[in-house]
Amino acid sequence: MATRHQAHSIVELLAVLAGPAIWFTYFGLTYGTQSLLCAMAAEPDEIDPTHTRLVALLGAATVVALLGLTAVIWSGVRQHGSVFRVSDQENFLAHLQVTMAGLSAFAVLSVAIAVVLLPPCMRVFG
Amino acid sequence: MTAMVERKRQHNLPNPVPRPEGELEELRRIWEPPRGWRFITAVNNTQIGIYYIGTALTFFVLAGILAALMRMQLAVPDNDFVSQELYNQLFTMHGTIMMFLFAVPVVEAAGVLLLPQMLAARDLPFPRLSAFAFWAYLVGGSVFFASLFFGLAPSGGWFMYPPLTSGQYSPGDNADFWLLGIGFIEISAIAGAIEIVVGVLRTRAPGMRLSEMPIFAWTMLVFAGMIIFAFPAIILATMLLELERAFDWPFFIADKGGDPLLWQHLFWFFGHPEVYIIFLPAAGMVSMILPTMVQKPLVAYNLIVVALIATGFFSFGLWVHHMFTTGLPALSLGFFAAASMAVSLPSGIQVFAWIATIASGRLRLATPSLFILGFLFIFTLGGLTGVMVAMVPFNWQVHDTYFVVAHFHYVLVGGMVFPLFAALYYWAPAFSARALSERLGRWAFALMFIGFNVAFFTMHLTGLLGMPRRIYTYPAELGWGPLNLISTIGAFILAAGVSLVAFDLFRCFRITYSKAAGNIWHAGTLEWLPNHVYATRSIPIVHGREPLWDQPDLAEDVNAGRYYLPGAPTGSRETLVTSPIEAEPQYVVQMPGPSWTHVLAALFTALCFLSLTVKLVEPAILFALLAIASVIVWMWEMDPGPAKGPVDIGGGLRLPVYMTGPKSHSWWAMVVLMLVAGTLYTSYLFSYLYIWTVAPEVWPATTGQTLPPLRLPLLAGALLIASSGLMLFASRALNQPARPQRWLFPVLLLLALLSLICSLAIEILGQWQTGLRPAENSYAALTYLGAGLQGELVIALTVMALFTLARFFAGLLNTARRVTFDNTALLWHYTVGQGVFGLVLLHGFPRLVG
Repeated sequence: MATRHQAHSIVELLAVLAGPAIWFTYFGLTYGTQSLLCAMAAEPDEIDPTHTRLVALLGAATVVALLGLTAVIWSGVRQHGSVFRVSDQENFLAHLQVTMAGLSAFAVLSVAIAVVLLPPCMRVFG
Repeated sequence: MTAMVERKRQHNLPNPVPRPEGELEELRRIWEPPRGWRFITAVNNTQIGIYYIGTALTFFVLAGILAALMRMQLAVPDNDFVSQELYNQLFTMHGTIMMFLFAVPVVEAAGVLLLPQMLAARDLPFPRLSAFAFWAYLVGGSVFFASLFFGLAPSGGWFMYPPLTSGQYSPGDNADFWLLGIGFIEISAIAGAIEIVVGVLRTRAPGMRLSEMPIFAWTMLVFAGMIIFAFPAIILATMLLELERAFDWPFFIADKGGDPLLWQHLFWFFGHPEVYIIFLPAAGMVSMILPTMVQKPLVAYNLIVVALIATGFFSFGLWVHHMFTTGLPALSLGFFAAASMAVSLPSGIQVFAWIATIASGRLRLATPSLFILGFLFIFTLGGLTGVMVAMVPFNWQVHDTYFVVAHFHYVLVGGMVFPLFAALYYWAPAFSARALSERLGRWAFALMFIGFNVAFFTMHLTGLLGMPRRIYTYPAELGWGPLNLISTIGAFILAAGVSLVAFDLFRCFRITYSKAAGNIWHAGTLEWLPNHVYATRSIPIVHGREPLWDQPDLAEDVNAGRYYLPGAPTGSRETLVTSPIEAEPQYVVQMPGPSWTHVLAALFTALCFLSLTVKLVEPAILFALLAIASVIVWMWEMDPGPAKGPVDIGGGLRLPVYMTGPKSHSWWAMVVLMLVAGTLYTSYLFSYLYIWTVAPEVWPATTGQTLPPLRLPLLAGALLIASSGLMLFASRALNQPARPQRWLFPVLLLLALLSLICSLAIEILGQWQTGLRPAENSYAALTYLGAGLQGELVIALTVMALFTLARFFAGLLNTARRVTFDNTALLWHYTVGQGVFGLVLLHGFPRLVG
């Protein structure tokens, strides 16, 4: 019983980090995928095939990340009622969980904007 | 009626008074620190924390002197006050000492000093580990600084980019001093970080839920977490560069498939979180000091916690903004520019929360407040220029100019030094018989604020006029002379301010355990409780974030011994271990006292690294063995077993004095250590894949290099998995009470060890037999490095396994007393997992891309 309680506590704690963890995974996959695909492209400016593939992949990743963050926010709100009542312990962690996920969604979107606006493999020097 | 209410209140407290005779004297005797020259063996967090801070401040002054010499050289054009080579050493040492020997250690030291008191713990959970970290830092840092006087100081800049720092362009031992010295100091920092994570999560006062933890504890938790994930990258980088310099393993040599940019990626993956590692604890100090100075609670506590955690995470996604001019694709630059701007949001949350806190009450304009107001002004300006340099086109214009120098001094001096000085004036009365002088403090603030802005604001202009960094002089006709002279004058005004603080410290600060000046600020947090060598007389039950404000009788009740653990029921140093979220008491941990073992371990480790630096191999091996022996003796004294418990801590609570498995604080420490190892390996994985993207021509698919036959890695993998299985059986065998079956345990453990070692041997020999040699190209070097990283863990586990066996045969390891084995098994299974992954990588990936 005590072990289950401890495990539940650890899960609660980790749930707070779910939002930033999703962002970090998204960021790593986005940067890694872009770097690998551009490195493997025959010509650095092989825009059309690589661009379309990359935007599709990164777009899908963005959607998945945002869905994940939405799930984290929804989970926090659903489990703990109004997360803006922050006087008790349960709502403190839920408040952290929801706010962290919201900030992370903003960070995901700010990276996604770069994907939409910039050519993927174009180098700026040489 | 009041007396009746008071009696009822006291009756509800865990322990009755008066306390038994002799209880307090025994507590004092047990916690008494060593006297005289034996102070070296002390482990009390107060003593170690003050030594740590004192050493860090000394390095701050020394690095400041180096900066003064630089400013004298740059004061006028065409100057020859110092030579070019010496100037290169000066800026390298200034930056390296400030970043590695001052900034991180001083905030870590503040954690060591303040956290136990803030959490109402008697000490940190691993007192000898923090003492080891201090002595390792002192010895390593001193040796590193001394290299200046022997012409051996590094001169490649504090970030030591290859190829400038490769063996070809930096022959001699100078760069090696940096590589090995800094690598060693990072290990010291990681040790401290492990301590802080476990301390904050597991030794808080009962009732101090996460939502009521002091904000400084939150910042230290995030700080320690960031160290765990950031520092392994620089440890790997220093390993790679040292292997290249010493043995020609080509990680950064383009001709052999390496890439100098790999160093930059690894360095800045560490380097950017590093600056937030430096800033966040200082922000925590501000969040503690301001409410006291305003006599109102901190506004938006929850949002500040969110901001801290968000900063910690987002800072790991910014590193390439130090590399905007390296020719990376535009999209890559865009990712990091976006992230660099996003990270200003959480910092902004904190700044506005502080402003709101000030507005909520009336700010007492004492010295700590002045330094905080100075911090707000300077740090905000630094943040603004940070957003400017986050914009790629602007960055291209100002990269490597004095504009960047101005920016980072605004954020680092404003963001850390000013809060640190606020903290010195604020917390000195808690540990010193005399508070620092308010009059001198105001003068010091004025000089530092004016001097800093005169020195560094001017550098924005100098940079925009095109003055590059790291030049030792400049011609007069460029017109940079007057601005540089102004900067130099400002630097000396700043130095005068710092000197005043140093004078004030010498004059007033007198370390004391029990006769401190006390809570002159009327603060509300627990570090202001009456203290002694044993910290607090009893460990309170806490409600609220400012317990001294919320519970007016708390100090008196704690001091009378009315709360938990007013004595030492096991006869040794103890504190309470509580649950991570609710802070419910779980068990009493027996902690070690003063000893020579950790001091010797630190000294011998430092001597080992020093010997390697100057390429004295036999002494290095000898010192390594002595260091291991010291650690073994140290560890032998740990794990006291459950014999003395359970004990009564008061309030009807009888707690065990021993714990193993996931509830144990040492298990948590091992998990954190595994995270460090995992991050180190992930950095290696990144390096491996990165080098493949830049130099696929050195991979077997192109070179035709033969790979070991698949049966070899399959055999090695099977041995690894068997090793894990044998450890599981050994764990069960240890639970067998029957004597005849207990012979199984040592046999299983030895077989597991043999499997582990054979697996590694098969891997290395298999690669060797193909004719692959590590100096051939980057693929070869990375292949052997992968085996090397596995080998480090195998060596550590060999020592741990033999140690475990020794304890078993000495009767110190059994069914009830098995922490040593359980923690070894944890690392064992991690090593097996890493090994299996490594085999798949090294044998699967070349085949996949071939």
